[in-house]
Amino acid sequence: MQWDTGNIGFMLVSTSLVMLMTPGLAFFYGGLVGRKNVLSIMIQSFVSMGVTTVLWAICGYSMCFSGSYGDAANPDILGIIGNFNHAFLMNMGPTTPFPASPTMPLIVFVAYQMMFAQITPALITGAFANRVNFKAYLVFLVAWLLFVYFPFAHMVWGGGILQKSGVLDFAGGIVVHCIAGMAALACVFFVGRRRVQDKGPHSIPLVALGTGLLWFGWYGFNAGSELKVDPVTALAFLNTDVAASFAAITWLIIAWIIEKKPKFVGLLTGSIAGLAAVTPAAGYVSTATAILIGIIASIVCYYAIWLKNKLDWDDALDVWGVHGVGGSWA
Amino acid sequence: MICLGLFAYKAVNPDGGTDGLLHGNPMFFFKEVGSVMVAALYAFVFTYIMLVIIDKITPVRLTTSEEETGLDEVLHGEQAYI
Repeated sequence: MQWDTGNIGFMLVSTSLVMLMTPGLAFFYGGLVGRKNVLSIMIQSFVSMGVTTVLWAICGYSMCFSGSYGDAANPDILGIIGNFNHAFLMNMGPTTPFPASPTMPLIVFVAYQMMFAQITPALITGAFANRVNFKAYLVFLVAWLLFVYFPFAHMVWGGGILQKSGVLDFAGGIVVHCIAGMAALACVFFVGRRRVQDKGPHSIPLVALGTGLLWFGWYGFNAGSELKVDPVTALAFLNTDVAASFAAITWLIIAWIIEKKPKFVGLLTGSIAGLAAVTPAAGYVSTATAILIGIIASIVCYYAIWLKNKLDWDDALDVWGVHGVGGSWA
Repeated sequence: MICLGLFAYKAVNPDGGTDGLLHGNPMFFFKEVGSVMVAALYAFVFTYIMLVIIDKITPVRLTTSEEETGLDEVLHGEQAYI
């Protein structure tokens, strides 16, 4: 077996970049809440790095990526969830090749996808900020991965029924942003409003730090989703940055017109909306389209948040408005 | 996902990509829209049911006085800022 060191090196760096997004998210959310609730929301992201890895090694990887729909030799379960052939990461070793890109070891893919599983449930935590018990959150984290994330990762990426029917999702419009955003909305309806409102973001510099880490990590998230190095990798990289920038500037302009000031939090939120929106399309569209996606994402997400405020949904940090709407839309 | 269904362009990614509605492939557009609607509904319903069940095992929501004290102190016994 001839290994392609360029591919392997790039994918390991991409894995590290996606890993850094979860701490980035913790800073992003930590800055947005009040000063007495900072640690409680940051730990919800950080703890996912530990818990999700444990679950991933036990059964998560296998439930997402072992077996495929309609494969007689190695069937999955009803096209919805993978089988348990790779539970405890068995039946693979350092020299097992990754089937879709055989010049790379499978374990690189195992690590790369694990980072996606870590950040997706952490995205939801912004919705129920300041009012959920930590013990209940831990149960929720495990249950949500088992019953929502793993099935969708399998259906869309792991050889499940949606992938086999031709659905494309480059880096996680459905698998990450849509399902996290809609889960966030369900959480808001279940837990209800915060009884004690924050005075506003306690530290916008922390929000900016988090946005910087997320934006940086997103290159690994989107470009790495090509799972090898070729022109599409570079296209996804450029599209990611272009969409984020156009979305950030669009949001800034909208905020400047409507709220009379060029709001920094608006610029930061806009960039995240653009990044979430371009995620499913990054490697499948031209850069001119990525520009359009970025602009539309900011307009649509801005008005989604306006609607949310009008309907009095207490999605504290706008997970539904930015990720649910942004990821589903674009 | 909806924009992808509209604008996908096989010429930029001949191996893995496809054409969207604006490049003459409406089937792909409907698949994208359909799958995102299924995913949204599934995620919403399952998450809600899950929270109802978890709430019976361990309380999900904190009390008003706990919210007033602040979660960092109540849940973790730590403070971000002294």
